[in-house]
Amino acid sequence: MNLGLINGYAAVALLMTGLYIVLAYDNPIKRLIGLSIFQAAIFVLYISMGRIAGGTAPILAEGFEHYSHPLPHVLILTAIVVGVAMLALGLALIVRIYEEYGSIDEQHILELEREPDA
Amino acid sequence: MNSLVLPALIPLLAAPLIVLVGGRKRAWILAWIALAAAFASVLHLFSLGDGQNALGGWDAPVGITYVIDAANRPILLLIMLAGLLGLLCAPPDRLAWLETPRPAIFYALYCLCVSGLAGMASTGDAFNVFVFLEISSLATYALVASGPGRKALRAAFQYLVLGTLGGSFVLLGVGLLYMATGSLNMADIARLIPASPLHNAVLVGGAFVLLGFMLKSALFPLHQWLPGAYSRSPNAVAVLLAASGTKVSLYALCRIMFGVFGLSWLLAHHVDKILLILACAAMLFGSLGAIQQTRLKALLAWSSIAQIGYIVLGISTLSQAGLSAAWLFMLFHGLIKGGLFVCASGLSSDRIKNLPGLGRRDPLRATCMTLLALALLGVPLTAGFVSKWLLLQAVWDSGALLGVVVFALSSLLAVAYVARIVLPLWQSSDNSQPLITPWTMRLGMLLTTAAALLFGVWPGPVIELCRQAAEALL
Repeated sequence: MNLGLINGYAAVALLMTGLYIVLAYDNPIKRLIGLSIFQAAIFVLYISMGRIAGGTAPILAEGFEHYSHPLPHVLILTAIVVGVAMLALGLALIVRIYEEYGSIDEQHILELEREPDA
Repeated sequence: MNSLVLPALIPLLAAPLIVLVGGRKRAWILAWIALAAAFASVLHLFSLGDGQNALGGWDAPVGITYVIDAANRPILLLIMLAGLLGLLCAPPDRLAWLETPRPAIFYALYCLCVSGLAGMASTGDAFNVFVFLEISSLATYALVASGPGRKALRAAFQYLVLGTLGGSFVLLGVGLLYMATGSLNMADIARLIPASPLHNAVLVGGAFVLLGFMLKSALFPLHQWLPGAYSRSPNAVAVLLAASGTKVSLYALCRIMFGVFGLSWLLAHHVDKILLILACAAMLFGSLGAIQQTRLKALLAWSSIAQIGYIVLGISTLSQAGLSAAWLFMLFHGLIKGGLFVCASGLSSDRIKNLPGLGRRDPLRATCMTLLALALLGVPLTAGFVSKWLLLQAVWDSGALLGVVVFALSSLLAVAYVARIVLPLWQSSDNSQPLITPWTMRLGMLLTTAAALLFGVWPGPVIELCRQAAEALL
């Protein structure tokens, strides 16, 4: 195992964990947590790719020669904002679902749905 | 050259303005003006010809570029027309079915969604596609959730989870491509890929980007979000999504396929065969699903899944004839399905068993619905026939016999589901459920039906547009 790629392995592990949680659980809050882990894995991947061994933050000054690539970091700032918006919207939807059904449990809701509605 | 950003910029700026102005009628009028202006800017783009715009004075490949060519102009046109058509179904005085205390927010989100779609269609930057994809998606989730009834909330949540997965796949793929090439500009990535030492990163990145767009365009078997999102959302949103939502993702899919990877890469990795198989599955299962539905809008949504299969079938030939047929199919299907969703709007219950008697109570709506449903089926003298015929020719020429067989089978199944909605319309019944048909909606039905018939006998200019689009892509 190449230790230089450890961030990559971590990202893949997180990616799989997140995807599994999204697909395997009924609880919407858990699914949102899964989505967040999934996205965090992608953030890790992006941030790691800008890293250079021995590099510093991208500062223009004496004594700093190697610096990390700032572009992936900036890109991922955008993606983090998108992720926050998704999470906020998802949680708001769960609150609304709870208000309407009195439950967020998928099984319980499916039972309620079986009763005909207009 | 700054006019290239206008189709995305005008609705984007209009959205906060609409919220600030507020009100019901004023918000609707503002949204109309914004989308009409964006539509005018798209027409202006047709007169400008091809072009690139470097945002903020940063030239490609460093800066973000907007690329307008023959391939995305028709798509932009479709987005704006779909946006205007959708607004006709949400006139301010008939918002009773909209359970929102602040209608201005609904119209603002609607403009944001159009802006995101237009941005996806006009950008030449791989990361920018993701940003616009998320702008339109986040707006869409909120719009779907504002639909009538509590099932809309669950449909919106389902769409949010799957849509975010799709968006994240795109992000992941773009990241890997960036890792392999060091560029985010699509044309630049295409130039750098052959020289990249990281073949696997290119392969995996490409797979993730394509997978993400397939999820967003609801290609079978990644379609689970679509029936709920289409059939539970407010009328206006259903029209907008059905007419343009998935098509823009399909356009982005093609853009990445042909603009970034190129034919030899696609052939080397059997993308054509994968798409062919998925398209055939979509055509079959979409039509089979449509037959089983008990609600009109759900039936139309399942039919859309099948129609996406037809479009992807055209793309899978990787030929110029196939691509131009796919483009024609996108435009005409957008028109027809948008019109059908207009006709399905304002019914107090869209269950198919409540359709009988509609022909007597609202002859205009029933006539338009019948004609559009026949166009969907591909009856001669309608737009649907032209697009299906050209598609069938292209697939036949490409030698994909499986595609031809499934095409025919799916079209036969389509007869069954179209009959299920058309025949009951003209049965007599003492059904007297209330109908809401404001004049704007009548206008929408009439215009789409007229266009579907007009392009059936006079498709020349549109075919020419699509031919140029395919030429620009390949």
